[in-house]
Amino acid sequence: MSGTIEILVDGAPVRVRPGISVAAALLGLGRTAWRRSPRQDAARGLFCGMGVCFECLVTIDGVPGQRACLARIHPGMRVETG
Amino acid sequence: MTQTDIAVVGAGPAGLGAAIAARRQGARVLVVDAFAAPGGQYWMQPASPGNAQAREGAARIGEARSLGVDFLTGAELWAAWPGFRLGCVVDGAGREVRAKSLVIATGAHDRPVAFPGWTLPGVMTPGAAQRLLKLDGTSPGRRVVLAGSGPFLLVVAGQLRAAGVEVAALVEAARPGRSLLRALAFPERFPEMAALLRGVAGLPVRFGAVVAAAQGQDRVERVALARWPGLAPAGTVEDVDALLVGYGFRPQVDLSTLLGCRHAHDAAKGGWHVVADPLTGATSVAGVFAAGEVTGVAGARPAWLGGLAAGSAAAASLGFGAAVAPAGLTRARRFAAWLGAVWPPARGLGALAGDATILCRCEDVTRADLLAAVADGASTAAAVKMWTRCGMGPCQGRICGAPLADALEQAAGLDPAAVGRNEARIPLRPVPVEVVAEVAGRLPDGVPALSSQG
Repeated sequence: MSGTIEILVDGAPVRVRPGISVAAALLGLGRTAWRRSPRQDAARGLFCGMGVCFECLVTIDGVPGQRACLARIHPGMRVETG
Repeated sequence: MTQTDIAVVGAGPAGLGAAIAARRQGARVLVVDAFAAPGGQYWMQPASPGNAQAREGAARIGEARSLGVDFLTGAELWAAWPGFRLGCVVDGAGREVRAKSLVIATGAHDRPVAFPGWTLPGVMTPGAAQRLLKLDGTSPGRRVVLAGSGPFLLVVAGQLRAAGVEVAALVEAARPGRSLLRALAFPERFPEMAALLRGVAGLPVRFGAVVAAAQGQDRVERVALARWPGLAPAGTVEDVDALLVGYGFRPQVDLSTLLGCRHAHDAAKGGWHVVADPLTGATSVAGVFAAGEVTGVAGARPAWLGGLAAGSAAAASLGFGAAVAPAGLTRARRFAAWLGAVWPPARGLGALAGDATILCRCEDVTRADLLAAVADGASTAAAVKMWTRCGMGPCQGRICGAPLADALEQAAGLDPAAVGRNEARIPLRPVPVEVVAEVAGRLPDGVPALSSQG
């Protein structure tokens, strides 16, 4: 798998293209939902795609509340979904 | 801390125009933008060789850099204080910008509409799909439905097809009529229009129709359509893995609100927008100028030219040269007015939401919650926020503002202008507490770091 880098998604190593957004990486892995809503506990995923709506929040390298649409993949990144 | 003469917020066509014009007249200019590269949504970078639009953006960015315009990218604005001081976060660290004058060029984002199932994963905005395609080479789905209203749907449809995505249906609320013929008055835009039409030739287009519901188990699988207006059922589109819905754009007015600029509501301009002088971009606040979509949605060309005008006027106000009015601005705005006549803003979209439909995605506030608040006497966006928490989440009303106004108009007959809007507060975006503490120590006495809540 040349041209890809390894990251950890929920503890599992996966290979993704470097430089893409975390949201694109998750979509590429077949994930469309990666968060639960606060009161109804419903599945949520990417919505506005440009940092406005805060629907796509994930924990990155231990820092919670990061927007998957804005954050870019780097080698060894640890992404935790909700 | 960075000191400059003019800080331009937003690096799309309007912001780049403002920066270039102001720098040409001799002012020091710093452009602040939240994204990793300048260009905004319209001139999104990096530019691929075959993309003339992005290459035009790259040329403008290059021109700005060669003139000596400074850029602070990846910088999210979380505060603005009088003086002017801007609070930014870059890579998690605080960064303060001080400027004698500001140009607000914060653009717009897709105008959301609440309908049953709009919170299902796989339902996104056309703008989200465009960023995925252009920046990440990633498709939002394999078989998608594009819906809403406006020429941007045609743009995104063409881009999806070029990327090999199947567009199962393009659902447009408007019914283009005789106003289309007035395109003949704008021969300079023919190549652009022809390219747009080539991109969507042969697509299954449904005019006078809307998405009534997105259905599926934990993700969108099926899309139910209805005639518009009237909402008579109009069939379903099956085996869908993405639904992209956008009814035009909403100006991004949180910064202009914080600074106390006067705003007005006009559905034809995307709703709430900054009131700015059409020739200079001057707002109601001395030293604050605005350009582009934040002054009312009109498209990229008026944004670029309006940016040139605002940047020039801002520089002149500080004693750098004389204000120059760019050629072609009036004509560009006339073209925007024609687009507005072909795709008039869809009114009455509040009828799409059922009682269980979520209006506020951050706090899971439903239409039924809203109606209960209205029955208790709430009739403004501010009151609804206190009653229901609608608008209290991290989006600060940027997403739920339009669905809330739609619902209040439909259920209680309230005019969106009278309902008002969720007033932006500091912090505009979530910010590390250390960053707030650091800035608080530097602010003059009597200037609070954070807005009082209430």
